[in-house]
Amino acid sequence: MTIHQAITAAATPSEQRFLDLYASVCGRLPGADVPAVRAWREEALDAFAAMGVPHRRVEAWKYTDLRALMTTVHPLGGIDGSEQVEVIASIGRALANIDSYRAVFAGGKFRADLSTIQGAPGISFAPLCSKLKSEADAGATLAALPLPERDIIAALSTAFATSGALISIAPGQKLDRPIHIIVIASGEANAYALRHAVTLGDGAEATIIETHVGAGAAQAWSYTALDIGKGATLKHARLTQSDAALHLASSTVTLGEGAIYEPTHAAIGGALTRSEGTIRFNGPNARTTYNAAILARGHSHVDFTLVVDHAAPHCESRELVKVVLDDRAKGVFQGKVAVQRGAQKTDGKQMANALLLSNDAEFDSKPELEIFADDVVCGHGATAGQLDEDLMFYLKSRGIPEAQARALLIAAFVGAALDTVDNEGLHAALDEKVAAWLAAK
Amino acid sequence: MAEQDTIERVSEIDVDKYKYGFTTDIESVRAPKGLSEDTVRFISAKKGEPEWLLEWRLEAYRRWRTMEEPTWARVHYQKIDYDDLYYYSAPKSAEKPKSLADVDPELLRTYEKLGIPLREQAVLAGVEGAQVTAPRVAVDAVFDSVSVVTTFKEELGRAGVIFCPISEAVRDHPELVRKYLGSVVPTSDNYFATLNSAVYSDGSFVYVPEGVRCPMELSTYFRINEQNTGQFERTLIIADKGSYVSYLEGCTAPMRDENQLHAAVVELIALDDAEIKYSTVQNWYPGDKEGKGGIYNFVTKRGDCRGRNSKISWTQVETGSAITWKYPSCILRGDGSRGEFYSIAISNGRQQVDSGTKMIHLGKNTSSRIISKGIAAGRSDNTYRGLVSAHRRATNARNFTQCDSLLIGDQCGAHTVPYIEAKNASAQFEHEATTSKISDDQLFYCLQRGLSQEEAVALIVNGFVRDVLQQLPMEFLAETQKLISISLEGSVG
Repeated sequence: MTIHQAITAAATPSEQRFLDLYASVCGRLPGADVPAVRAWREEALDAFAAMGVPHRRVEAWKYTDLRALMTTVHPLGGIDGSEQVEVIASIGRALANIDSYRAVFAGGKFRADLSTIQGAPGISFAPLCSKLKSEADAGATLAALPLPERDIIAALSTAFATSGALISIAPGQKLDRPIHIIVIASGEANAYALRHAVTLGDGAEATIIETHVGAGAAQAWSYTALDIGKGATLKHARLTQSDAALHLASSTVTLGEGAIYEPTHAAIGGALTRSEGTIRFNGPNARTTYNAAILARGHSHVDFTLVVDHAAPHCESRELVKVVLDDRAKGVFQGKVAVQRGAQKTDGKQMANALLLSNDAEFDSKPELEIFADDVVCGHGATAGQLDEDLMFYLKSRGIPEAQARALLIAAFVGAALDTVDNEGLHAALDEKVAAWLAAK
Repeated sequence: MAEQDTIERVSEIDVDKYKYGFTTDIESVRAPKGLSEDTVRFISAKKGEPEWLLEWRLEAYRRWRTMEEPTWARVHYQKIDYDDLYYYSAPKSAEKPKSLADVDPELLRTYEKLGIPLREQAVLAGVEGAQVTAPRVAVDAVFDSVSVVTTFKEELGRAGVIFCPISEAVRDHPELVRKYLGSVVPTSDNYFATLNSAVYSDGSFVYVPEGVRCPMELSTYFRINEQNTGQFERTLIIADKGSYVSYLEGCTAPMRDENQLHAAVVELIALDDAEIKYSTVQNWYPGDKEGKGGIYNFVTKRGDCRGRNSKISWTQVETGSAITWKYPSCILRGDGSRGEFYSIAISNGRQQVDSGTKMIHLGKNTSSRIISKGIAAGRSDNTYRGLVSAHRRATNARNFTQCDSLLIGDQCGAHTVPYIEAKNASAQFEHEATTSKISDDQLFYCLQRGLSQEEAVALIVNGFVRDVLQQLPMEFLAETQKLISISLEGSVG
């Protein structure tokens, strides 16, 4: 069950750029001399070539014409050398200060010197590149990293992967602090590809924070597979922030019986950010609460695309998406709730609200329901509008200056999605990011 | 009376109890089978059309040859062989225009059986047998490819209203047809509209002059009778400044094993302060229980609110057709114009419905409202697909959309695919959609009051679609309520 449709192949210059890039780096990628690794990459590259770079006539990319928005492909970073990185300078003090087990990927490479996740209690961690060195290691690792169908971002992230976090949390393990995956796409005009996989054993509990920052015109592609075992709980916050960078991220989340998945996604700016994902219920009585916020101005283009796939009965899903757009920014939310035959007693709700602060901003939304079971309660809502004049008037009549009143209302608007984060450090950091965005105008 | 009704309905629980499935035995004249430039010329010649219209058709035909059939809708069907169809079929006796007195009695009997009043003194009884006196309705009766009769033409003429078959309008009012034909749905619009432009045979033409409130309801009744034919009608309604017209459309077809194609185009134009209310009760033959036969209903309907403060309102009740592919839309071009869409789409058996609307806000202070109720039963699929968009200059555009789906049985599917595009900060869009089944509590309550399961479901479903029913003209209301319960027969348990 996917939002994608078959894409007809066409070897236009758009595809050729990626194929050329692969040809130029394939000998130097991690595991280049291991046949299993090579086969794994090339399967993904073939899948990419068959799909082609999506454009607006491909339904799932209707509002994000990648062919038009991504006219260049940068050289791949993370192969040779090592870049100088300052974590605090890159992600800000508030985020850097969160007490966590940290895994830092900078310039496409795992940075053991900046990370603290190695040897953390209850966590088995390895950077992907370390598992691609021998045929024996690679065989076992790659068997657990299949390529999802019709996912252009996953295909690119796999073909070019230089590293990624492989995390496994033992059954019943309850982590005492969050795991913080920090991805810094630091080099100007470089492309980075990472592939992550996280497995939570039955009954485990964990919080994962992902921070993606991009400097300059970096391009970052990543694919994450999350598998949540029976009765396990995962809280997952993802923040993407940049000015001119291009982020393409895709994820697949599977939930076992009675599992709980609580993601919070926030995207601030970026020349192009496309974050797509599938959350699939494989067992009954599981639930997910997805909260997302988009803040964009300038010429930013931010696209959240999410499929919640109810493949099992008695599951519950909630989605809340808040979008704030200024200047010429474009925001997209495509949300699909699919209820498969037999997934009775499904309870699915989805809400997307957009706030347009400028007449040149654009919000496109496609909230979709696809339902094949009769005993279900599903609903979605979508609104778009500007700041409520009455609320503005109320605040101004209390002596609050216009700019501050606007900031208050916008912060409250996105707060509805972000306030659900219960990690105090992260909560404060997100508040700070929103405040900084509002103040930057 | 009502009880008897229910008992009868319950006793014939089956999807293929389609009551308009009879055929009329009548000699007809057909175009040669297949589609070519000659077919287009044949139809044009039959209609005695001027050169410009033939050229217009041929251009559409040539374009159509280069187009591909759309596949984006959630409907599945065997590829249509367009060369294995008759594109024109007319009752032999209807070849020349005549008065009602000259119409073949066989045809009159057909319409009588369908409950359509063609005699001017007749009144439309809402439910057969019930003595309901309703306002008079002018009817244009289209049988296969031709209009056989149009009633109340003289009385309408006195008010200045033109209501006639479109082929007659081409002859008598070429300036109006030429000005507006294809101005809302251009020949290049989409695959089926282009095909229609090339081969359309008849349909209704309405022109309401400035400041006139049309003195009666206008109505067209479409009947497909002949085998292996497609029906391609074209309707053009123009409401000049400050005028008002309410138009009803009904359709049925015989039960046949084959699938028949119906590809119509409807264009509405509302000038300053004008209002058009367009209601459809679509009851084409839906095919049998196994999905054999039935009409493919691929229709392009679009209204253009061209003038300031104009208003176009679509109301549709879709119960028939094997496949429905239909999106009555409004282009809100004039400042302050308003578009409305009220829809009930019911699918049962193996029917597939992909229907919805487009509200395109171009002018300032435009508003639109969409209420869609989809009911899926049996093994059917029911999809709402809609677009609401506000362009950059559509300041203060407003939209409210509500689409609810009701599922009856666990083998059907209900889907909602709305597209919302806001390009203006002052636009305010609200969209909500729900999907649910008939609540056990409601059902229990009704059963406990002594209603049977069937009656209870009919009552609850009628409540579910009430918002839309209220928009229907009185004459259609009783008929529609009955249609809804018939369509859902056999779907419970």
